[in-house]
Amino acid sequence: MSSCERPDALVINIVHDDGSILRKIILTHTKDEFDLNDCQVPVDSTWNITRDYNISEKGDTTYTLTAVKEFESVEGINNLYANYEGSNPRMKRKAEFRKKFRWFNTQYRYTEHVDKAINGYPPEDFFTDEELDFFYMPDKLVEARLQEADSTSIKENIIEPLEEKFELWLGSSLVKAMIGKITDTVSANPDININIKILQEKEEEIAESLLKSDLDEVHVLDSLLGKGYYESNSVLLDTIFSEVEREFDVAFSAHKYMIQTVMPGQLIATNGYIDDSGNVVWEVEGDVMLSTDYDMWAESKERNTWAWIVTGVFVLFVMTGLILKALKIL
Amino acid sequence: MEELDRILKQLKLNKPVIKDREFLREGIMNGITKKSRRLDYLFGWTEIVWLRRSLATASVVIVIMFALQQLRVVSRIDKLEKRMLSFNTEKILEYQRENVIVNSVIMHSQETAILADSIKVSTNDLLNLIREYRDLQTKYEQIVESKTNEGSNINKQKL
Repeated sequence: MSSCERPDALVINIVHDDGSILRKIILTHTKDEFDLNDCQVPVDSTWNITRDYNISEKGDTTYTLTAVKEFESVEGINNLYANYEGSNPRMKRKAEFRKKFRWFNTQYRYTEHVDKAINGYPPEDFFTDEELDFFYMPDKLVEARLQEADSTSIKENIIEPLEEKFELWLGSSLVKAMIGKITDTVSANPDININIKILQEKEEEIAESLLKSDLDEVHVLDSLLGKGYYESNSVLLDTIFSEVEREFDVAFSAHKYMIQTVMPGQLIATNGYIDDSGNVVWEVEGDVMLSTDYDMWAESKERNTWAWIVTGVFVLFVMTGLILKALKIL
Repeated sequence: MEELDRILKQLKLNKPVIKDREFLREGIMNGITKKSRRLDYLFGWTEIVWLRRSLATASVVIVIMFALQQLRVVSRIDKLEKRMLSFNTEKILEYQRENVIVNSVIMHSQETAILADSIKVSTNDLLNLIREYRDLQTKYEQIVESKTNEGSNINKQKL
């Protein structure tokens, strides 16, 4: 959990059929102080900014800052991501827009991509489809689902197993990332004398021991791979541990935010969650981009009416010709 | 009946005199051939075997393409149903407002600030706890307020 007070952020992308994007960032805070340089997503004072406040039934005041900017293409957004130094500085992100002409329809695809932090196990390897649905679901929606009639069943059959498996996935991913790095380093430097095979064989045991026992990584490695194993490879292992730790920190210290996307035409597919107005919502947080690249995508289509008419006329013309010919023969 | 036969006989005997028979015949023939020539011009391609087959194949392919494309779109849209949830932008913002308030309560309370950094309490549990606490607080304030109002009403009655 982020232990500092920071505005909550909602990013709204209104995607147009020409690839231009109206990006709106809504920041909510308990104070009327917004540091745009420290926002979860790139935004600055050149955006069109409006401020508002709200007093709840309980008498609490919250302040809202809305920043709006029109981008001609995703390149504008990607430039901002490339130069971003805010509260998620090492999170590698990019946006992508694709338009495909499919004669009867034109299809659009908008993607917001976040690079994975470490080379661990993808969540798909550990969780069931139903669990994954809740794994990626924004907190707000999980909370709403848990207020529905089947909440007990969801809690018992999905949320609790998900929480149980979560730690194992996290630990296994970290161990995999470390062993992967050791393997890469040794492959690149054959003069380093370290038994990688045994490390790979004991990967599962190392992960379990790190999770279940109170021992630190030094003692876990020594107990599983032989006394003195850590000491004899300490330089390499220490370097790799701190490197993985640094990479892991990208996800661990990530400040979450929500993305909402409005697509042109009719929505036909997405991996996000669809609201009452047909907008798609995702939540970007550390877990979802820990060990696998996180692509938030939505696809929509627009009907090319002229193509339908042209095709209809053509087919009708050919059919009439063929019928007349058949009648002539008869 | 006899009358009718008689009229027919008369008509046959008195055939109309056509002044320019050839011209009339030519006109009628021209009219007929012009119509069929226009049709031939429009659908002449049906006489060319390779063109007829190509256009027929193209039509079938286009119809199949259209059907497949529409089926694919419909099946993808059907799958979207699973991802539909009842919420909207206003609800998200409402949640965010509640979230920042709860977060602020945690950070400004010494006791809960310690919990916020503890790995033994999950974020959701902590947030739920604070939310419940805030709800209880509101209810408590309402009860106190109603009691105060009742008290003032009793005092008024006594006076």
